[in-house]
Amino acid sequence: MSSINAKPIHFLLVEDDESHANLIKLALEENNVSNTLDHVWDGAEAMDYLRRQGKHANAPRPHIILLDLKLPKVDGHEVLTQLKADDSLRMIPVVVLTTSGNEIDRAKAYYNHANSYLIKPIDFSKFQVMVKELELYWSVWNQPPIPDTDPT
Amino acid sequence: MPREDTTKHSSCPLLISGLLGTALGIAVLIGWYAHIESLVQGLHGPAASMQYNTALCFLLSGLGCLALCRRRVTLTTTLGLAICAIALATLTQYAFGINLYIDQLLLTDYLQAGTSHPGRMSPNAALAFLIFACVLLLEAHHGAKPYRAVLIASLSMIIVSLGLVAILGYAAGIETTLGWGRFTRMSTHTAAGFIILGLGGTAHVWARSPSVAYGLPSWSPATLFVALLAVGVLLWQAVLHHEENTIKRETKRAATSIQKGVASRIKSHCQALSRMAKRQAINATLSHEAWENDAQRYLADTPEYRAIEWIAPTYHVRWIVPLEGNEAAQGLDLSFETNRQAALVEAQEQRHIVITPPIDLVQGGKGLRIIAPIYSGDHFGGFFAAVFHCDQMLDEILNSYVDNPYYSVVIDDANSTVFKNEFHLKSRYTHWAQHAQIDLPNTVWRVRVWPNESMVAEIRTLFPHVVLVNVLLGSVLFTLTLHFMLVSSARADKLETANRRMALETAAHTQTEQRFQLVVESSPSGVVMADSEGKILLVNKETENQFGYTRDELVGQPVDMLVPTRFRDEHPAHRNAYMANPTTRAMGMGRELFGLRKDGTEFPVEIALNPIQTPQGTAVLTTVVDITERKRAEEQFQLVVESSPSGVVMADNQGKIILVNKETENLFGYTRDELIGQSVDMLVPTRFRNEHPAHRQGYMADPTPRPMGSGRDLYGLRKDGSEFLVEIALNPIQTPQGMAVLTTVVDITERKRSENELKSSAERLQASNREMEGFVYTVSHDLKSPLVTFAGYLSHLNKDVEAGRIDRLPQFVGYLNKAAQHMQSIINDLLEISRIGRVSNTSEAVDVNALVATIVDELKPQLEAAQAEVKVQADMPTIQTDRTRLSQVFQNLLTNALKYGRPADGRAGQITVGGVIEGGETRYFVADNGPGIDKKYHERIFGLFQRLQSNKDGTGVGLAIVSRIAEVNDGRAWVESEPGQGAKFWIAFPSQMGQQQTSTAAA
Repeated sequence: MSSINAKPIHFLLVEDDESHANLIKLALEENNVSNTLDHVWDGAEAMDYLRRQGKHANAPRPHIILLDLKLPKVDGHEVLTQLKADDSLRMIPVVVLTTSGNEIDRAKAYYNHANSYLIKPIDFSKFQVMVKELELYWSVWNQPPIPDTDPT
Repeated sequence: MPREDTTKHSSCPLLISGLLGTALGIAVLIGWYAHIESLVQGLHGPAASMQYNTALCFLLSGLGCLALCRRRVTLTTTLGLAICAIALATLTQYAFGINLYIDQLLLTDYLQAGTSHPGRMSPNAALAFLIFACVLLLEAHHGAKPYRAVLIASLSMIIVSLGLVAILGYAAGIETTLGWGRFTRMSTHTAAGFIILGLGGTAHVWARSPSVAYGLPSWSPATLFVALLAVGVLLWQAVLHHEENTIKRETKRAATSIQKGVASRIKSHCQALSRMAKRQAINATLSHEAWENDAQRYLADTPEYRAIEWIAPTYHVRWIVPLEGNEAAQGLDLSFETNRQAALVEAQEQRHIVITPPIDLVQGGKGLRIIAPIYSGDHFGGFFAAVFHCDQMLDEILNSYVDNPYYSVVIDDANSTVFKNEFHLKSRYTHWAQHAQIDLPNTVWRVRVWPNESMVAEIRTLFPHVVLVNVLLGSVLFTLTLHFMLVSSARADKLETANRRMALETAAHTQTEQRFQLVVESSPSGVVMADSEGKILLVNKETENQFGYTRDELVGQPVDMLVPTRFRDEHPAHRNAYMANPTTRAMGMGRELFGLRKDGTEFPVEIALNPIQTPQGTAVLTTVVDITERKRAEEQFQLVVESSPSGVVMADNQGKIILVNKETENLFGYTRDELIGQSVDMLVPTRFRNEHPAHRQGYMADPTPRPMGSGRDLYGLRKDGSEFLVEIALNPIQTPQGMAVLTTVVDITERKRSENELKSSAERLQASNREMEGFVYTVSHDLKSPLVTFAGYLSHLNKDVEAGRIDRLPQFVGYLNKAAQHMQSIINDLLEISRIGRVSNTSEAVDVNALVATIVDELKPQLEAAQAEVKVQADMPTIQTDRTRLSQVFQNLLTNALKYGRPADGRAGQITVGGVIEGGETRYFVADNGPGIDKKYHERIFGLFQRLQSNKDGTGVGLAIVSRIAEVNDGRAWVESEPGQGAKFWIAFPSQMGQQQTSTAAA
């Protein structure tokens, strides 16, 4: 499969619901792509992770961020805003992964330069497919920016 | 008078004369060039013609007029100067007898009719042009100088006179009017041209001069005088010249007659003598007797013969007839004297008749001889000579040809006087002498004839002088007549104006008196005139109506009778004071005045006093107005104002309160007396008071009915210092004391409150709408979340079961359980939160201490599990509220403190509950010694489904419920916390809702 060509990429999952996080991990594992994933529980921790603060001092720079919107402390929208305002972080693609189909959420996410907006399907098979294709898309087809390339 | 006007007025005559003059000049010039003699000579024929220069001057004059019409000053001046030059040059030629060669400069005079110098303009025409040039220059340059009109008019009239006299001369046949002396004469059309130009000039100034009377200007007499004078003098001169010409002509005729007469008589004598000589020559033997008979016959025929002689060739007189008287000559040798000898020699040698010069006759007197030689062939037979007595002969001749005594006659030959009549020494008119020449066979006689006194006296008449005197007298008379006509007319005008004014004044005066009567009588006010003693002189109808007295009852009585008895004593003093300083003013300033009727009733009045001068001294005209109606109106006004539901404040333009009503007293808490006379500023809160006078002045500058301070909240200040919201309307009102402002004040506290309530309820509605949105959003998200978990793990479980795999089963079922519980608690919380505000329980006094004790008791297992301790303040304030809700508040806050307020460092949880009454609120708190909450989360934690920690149980509804309950009770909920310092959650209820007393539960 395409997994042969895929370079291993590193996901950062921001999700406050343990069961949902577990479901996503399970789905990703079924793809047999040798990707890595770190899970943080809320927006504040996500920013700590990205900025390598506190217990995340040695955290790697993720290739993709999977971001839930409904988060304790700092919610997903705020994470997006802070992230995209940060010159060192703004080039990391952010895929919003949420249960909310609310149009304001969607508009807000794109306004804040989210790269993709996915709604968690209640139908599990669809959920499975979505997560798989999400992984394939971002690790195989999508070409992420080369770190430290000056876009200007 | 401004020049623009004058040019406008005077342009018409000037234009006409200018056009005519130009046309005349051009016509004659054309005549000269085209040889049309009728154009050049005018009506009178060849006697005179308009000279080329004259025509040129007419052209220039006409153009000058036109230029003047257009106010072309420079052009007019140029033309005027050109005319002036030509005229002056011509006059100079005449005056000094010189030739400046200007007469035929442009054209040779091929007619030379009636002119002394070919082509030269007549002197009178030159003078007229010179004057006209002066008129042009004056008019062009001397603006509105006062002398100008009369000067121009007079000069113009002189020009008219020059032309007019020439025309008159033509008409009367006195050609001497045409020119002066022997100089060139003026033609008819030249004369007509001058009349046109002169009249044009006169009319020009006439038109713009102000008329004194009959449309004539003030200068017209002077101008008339000058014109008539000029005509008179010119006519006088002309008639004088005419007479002189007659004398000259008659004298000339006499001279010619004498010449012809003398010549023919002497010639006939010569012929007779020569015949005698011929006869003698043929008949040489003629006897002495025969000759004597023959001679005798001659002598009988011609008495002027003194003698007839035969002179022998020896020059001796041989025969002589008649002998008597001539004896001296008998035998006389005529060669004794040279004249005689020369004559004889000449006759003998030349063989023709010779007449001797005058000689002294031997017979006595002057005489002359006609000598005829006698030749028979070449045989000379002596001479026949006739001797004449000169005087005798010529006297006779003269008598037969001329009226002898009229003329002095002198006849000279080459050397001596042949004859002179007896008058020639007496006559002094030698300057009129006329000459003639008599040709005789061997000599020439010159005849000189001049008139004698008698002849001059006969021709000379008094006529010229009569003309002059008459014209002078006439002009003086005319002038004076015109002058006095103008003066009298002007005076008449003045008199008439004065009369008219006087008539008007008289009429006005009469009318004034009538009007006064009418005005007084029909005055709507009572009018009472009283003398200085206070006695009534006059009353009008209205006074009768007002006081109920008839006129007769009042007149002659003291005015004091109209004054109420209570004031009557002081009234004479008032009257006297007024008479000391009588001015027009109102009576009794500031006091209320009353009139007393005949029936004893009183009525309020207003009285005005006017001092009035009458022949009997100063009287007082008193105007009385019954103000009963006005008083009633004022009272009605008072009543209306008083009963107004709004506060009414009237202030003058200085802001001083004039009037307030009952409602104002109610609103501001002042009594009327405390307000009247004070500044309205006292009703304005102190913080606005400084700016209030400026606002007032701004309003007085533009007083229109309008609300005060639009857009601002206005407050009134009560006497007790409290303020209240007001609405104020301003109305300018004109009072006798000047502009005032009527202010209507309405207390709008109530209205404002309702408005605010409406606004806040609208805000609440909006907030609840927003909450609803948040609720729906939360539900869609938070309820979907467990569904995703269910679907996912059920599917995994299903696959695991199919695969016979059970290792992940407990974990997955655990997820499922958790999701189900979470879902249930969400739904419970949602139901609960929706119940708050929707379901209201009865309000009761709640013993908060007891309530908290119950809850702490219920939470005991959890407290113990968490090893937390709860401290409750002993005397928390009781509160009047919904017990269930308050219980929920404490449950949630305590649960919250248990869940999230546990110290992270392992210290024992310490929860404190307390209450306080402060700031109009009843406040309760639940505090913990947990990790505290960052300030940025202080608001969010009260939101629905908001949690700070994902790994703790709970839906995030607890604090939302607390907040909601506070809100429903018009209270508030908040947290005081710093990270690491624990958190203190507060809920506050408005005091009005709570009982302000301490709890009795502790007791």
